Amino acid sequence: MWIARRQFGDDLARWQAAGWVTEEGSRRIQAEIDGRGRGPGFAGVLAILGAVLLGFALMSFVAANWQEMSRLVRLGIIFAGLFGSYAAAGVLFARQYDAFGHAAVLAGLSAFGAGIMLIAQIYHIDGHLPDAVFTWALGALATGLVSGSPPALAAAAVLLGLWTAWETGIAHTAHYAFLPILAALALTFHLQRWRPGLHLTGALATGWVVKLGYVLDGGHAHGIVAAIGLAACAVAVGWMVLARRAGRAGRGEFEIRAQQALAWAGGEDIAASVLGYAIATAFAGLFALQFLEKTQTGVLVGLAALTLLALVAAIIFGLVGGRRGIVWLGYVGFSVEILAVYFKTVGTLLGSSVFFLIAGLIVIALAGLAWRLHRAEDGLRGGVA
Amino acid sequence: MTTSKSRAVTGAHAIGNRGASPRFAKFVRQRRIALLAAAALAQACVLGWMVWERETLLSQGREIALDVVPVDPRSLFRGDYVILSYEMSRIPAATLPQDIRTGDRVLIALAQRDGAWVVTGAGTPAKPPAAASAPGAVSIAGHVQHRTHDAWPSGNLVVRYGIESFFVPEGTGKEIEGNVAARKVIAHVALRRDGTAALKGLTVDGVRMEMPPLF
Repeated sequence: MWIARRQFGDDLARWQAAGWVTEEGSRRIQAEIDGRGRGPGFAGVLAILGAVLLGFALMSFVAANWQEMSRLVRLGIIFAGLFGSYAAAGVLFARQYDAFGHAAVLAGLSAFGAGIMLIAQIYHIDGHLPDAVFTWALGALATGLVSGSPPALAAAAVLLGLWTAWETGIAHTAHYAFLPILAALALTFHLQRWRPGLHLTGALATGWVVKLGYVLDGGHAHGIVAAIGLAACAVAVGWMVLARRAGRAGRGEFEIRAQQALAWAGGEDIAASVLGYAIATAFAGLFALQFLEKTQTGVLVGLAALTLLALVAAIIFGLVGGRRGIVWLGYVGFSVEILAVYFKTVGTLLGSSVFFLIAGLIVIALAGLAWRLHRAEDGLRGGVA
Repeated sequence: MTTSKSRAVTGAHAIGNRGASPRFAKFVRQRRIALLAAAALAQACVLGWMVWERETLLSQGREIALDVVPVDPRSLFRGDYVILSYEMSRIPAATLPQDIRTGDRVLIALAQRDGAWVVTGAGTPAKPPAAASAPGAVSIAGHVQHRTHDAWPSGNLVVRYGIESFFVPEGTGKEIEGNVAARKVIAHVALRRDGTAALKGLTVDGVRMEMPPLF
């Protein structure tokens, strides 16, 4: 964040020197930027890291099963840690040290998790371990909701991810119970307008869908993963187009309502994020179909062509829409795909040379296309201006 | 339409209502502290309930003693706990309905024969084993972990009862591991009426290791 601010400060000085911005305008813009919230800040990040370390200390203390201390005393330490952390969080929030308050909430959550582990240990409970993680996640979720603490909600998301991965690993089948919880989590983050949380849920959803390919149909359901990913891509692109059109629509009642609905859903920015995760999902499915399954050469060529075309489409879409994340995702996917095709199909150095020649020409053609599009966009802007 | 300003205020809710009026911000902060206290209390209640449930089961449940059998010696000791397995951990699939699946709850009837508790029947909560109602018999509840053979009624069902781990102080598991391999370990298990089991302690080479009540 501070790098972006410094960069902006340098740009502003340059614009002022060029005469594009007046001295008064420059001063007001700088004041506006300085007046904005600076996020958690360095101290807040350190406090969160400290709380995480304290949590690990508590859990290691439990794991050591130290017999010199009675069980009652060990339980007392956990309860004291739990109440102490939340009391500290309350005091810190009251004094408006919010970043430290969030760290204290995390420490309280660590004590709750350590408490579950300690009780399981002292009573030799060998239950279904994902249930313990789920209980911990629910505690984190409830605390995050009532305290409005994003780090607690992030912890809940991470724990829920661990829970579903564990359940899937044990049962070796799709864990559908995770879906309504994921939806509730996404809605919560959306209502709080907390973008990192939405990205967390996007990553969790992607992981869940990709895992389907490895557990359904005897571990050969990667086609379903690719289909879900491509369908989600179509939905996200449609959503982005609608959001853009709604922004240009007239002032009729229907248009206003549509704008309100799209604004509530997060508009084009959220749709672009969804598109990013959808691309990742589709690529994971297509990649597994090509390189993890026993695929005939003809099918492999067809799938590779489809994948490369889809990735090129994603890059062009990102360039036209000014979505750098999607462009980079497309570039990374394209590189991985090319490399994987190379390892799977090419045996001789001469063959490698031809392969890289063709791939290079495709990429250069892509660069030329991107440049033309960029020029065309600039021309349009100039015309409008 | 949601303006950028209203979004900024909504977004600030998560970080302490910056931008709201001072009175409203104070109210929100006080409410947050009260809710935080409620969350702490709820979490303490969850932990307290876990302790109470185990303490009640251990003090009031019926005690049975089960012979512990060695598992694969290579996976017997993991980290800071010893894995315990029992004769009743493997139940012939034919004694349970064909549609039984991984994760399903089962009830196993046990009765004492020549001083040892042995399996006399198997069933589900919907259809408990008839042998469990015999005089002196008990039933223990478990979950099916997996089947050793796909085709019913061949093979066995591996059942877990929640009493398969015995946590030990750091670095002391090897000794118990050796005694389990030599079949010198007996597990003392408390049973509730519904079949829920809790591990009370172990007798290792004739010496009983048991934790005293918490209070």
